[in-house]
Amino acid sequence: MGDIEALYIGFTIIWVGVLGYMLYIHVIQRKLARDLTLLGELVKKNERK
Amino acid sequence: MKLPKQFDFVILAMAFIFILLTIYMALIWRPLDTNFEAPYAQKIFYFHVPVAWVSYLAFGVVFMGSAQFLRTGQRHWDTIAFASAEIGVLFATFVILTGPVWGAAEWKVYWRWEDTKLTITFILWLIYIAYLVLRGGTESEDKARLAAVFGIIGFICVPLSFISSRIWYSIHPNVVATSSGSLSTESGMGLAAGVVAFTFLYMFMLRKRLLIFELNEKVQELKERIGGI
Amino acid sequence: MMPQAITIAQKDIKTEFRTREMIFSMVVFSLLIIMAFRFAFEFYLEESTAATVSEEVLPLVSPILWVTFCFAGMLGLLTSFAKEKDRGTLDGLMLVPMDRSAIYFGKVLSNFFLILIVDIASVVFFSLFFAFDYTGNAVPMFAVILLGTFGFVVIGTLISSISVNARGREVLFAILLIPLILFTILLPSITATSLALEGRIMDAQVELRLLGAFAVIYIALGYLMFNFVLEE
Repeated sequence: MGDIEALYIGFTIIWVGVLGYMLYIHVIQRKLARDLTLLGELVKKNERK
Repeated sequence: MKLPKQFDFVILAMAFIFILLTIYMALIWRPLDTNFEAPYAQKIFYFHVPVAWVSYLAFGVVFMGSAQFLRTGQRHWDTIAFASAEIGVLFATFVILTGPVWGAAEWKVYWRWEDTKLTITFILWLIYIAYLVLRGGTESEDKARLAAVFGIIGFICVPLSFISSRIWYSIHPNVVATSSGSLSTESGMGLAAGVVAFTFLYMFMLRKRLLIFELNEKVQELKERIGGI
Repeated sequence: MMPQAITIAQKDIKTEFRTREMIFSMVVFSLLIIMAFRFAFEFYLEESTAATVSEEVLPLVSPILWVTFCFAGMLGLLTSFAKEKDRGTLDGLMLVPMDRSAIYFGKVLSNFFLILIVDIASVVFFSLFFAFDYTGNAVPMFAVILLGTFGFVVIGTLISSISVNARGREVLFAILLIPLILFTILLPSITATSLALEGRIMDAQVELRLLGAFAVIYIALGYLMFNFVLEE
């Protein structure tokens, strides 16, 4: 493995990993927030009955 | 933990600043170290080592969280342990991946079991993956307790394994060129910047992960109120 | 607490010898493992240029034996708790007004006894399949096996009590146990056994001390943590 290539690869591994994880968390957070609002409305409808 | 939203932003900002600082110090400020065969690849050091230390920190948090959970029974300790283990395993994976990348460039050797640091990181990685498998995705109280017990056992086995492998390799030495190196103060500063950067990054990632747990709990609670979907 | 532990151990051993199914499976399993190793190493043994059969097999003895001990042993360790949990007898044991660690120590004793039987069987099978003569080194080798197996059983019993409660217990047990014992039990045991077989048991003092120390640490860990595992 070449010298500079190794630096690039090492760099990429860490930052792709970190950003990938953050993206994954972000996606799940969005989904859960949406679930929360939907369920919130359902609950309100239920308890109005 | 109920901290204001600005807190998260501050942590992210600090992480960002220090990451930039580390990159600057590693790539631009520090000259190419001609002692090394592959001076460019050597700069991985400024990221590889801090990530390793922060992963140790993360696993220490797993230990603390597990112990506190067993002691007090408060669920949020178990949640902290679980989240920290996830991030710890992620960082440890980085260490295990970047190490051989650097090693291949520098010494043409991807891995050396004789180096106790490598074996310990590997064992650590295995143990906490096992923790994650045990803890699983379910929120059952029992699973959490079992995982906490394993979290404590695993943490104790790491120094034990370290001592054992250290002694073994000193008694049965393999003649391989070792990579010792004295640390100049400038390198030390670069390293310190890296450690600070990744610690802030870890804290930010941890808080985000804990947020997911919170949201999930709320969703589950609402689902139950509707009547078991 | 110890008398209760011994009673539990006796109960376990008596129950096991009534049906003998678990010990039988473990012994057969160890036989199969040794057989698999024998054929796996066929090429190595054919190509070897060592003077005598015993010499060419010597480097293989210790690793093969210990891998066999571990995998056959894991079978027994897990079954011992699985039986109790599935039949509800574990709850019965917990109702008895005694220190719950007695259950742990009792299990350690009974597991140790049963796995030792499997170990001896493995040692015999190995000498049969590999035509290996232990000559005068049998006693020191056996001493090392005793010590190493004890450490293995101590941590193995604790981990099996954890994994028996989770889903996918067999695989989980292996995933949980192996990283813990790789360097603490396996490596010193294999080294010490190899040295014992070469007649150099006195060189293995460090490994033996390590094994002893870890066994003590693991017992302490088991004593402290077992109550948390059993909590409902």
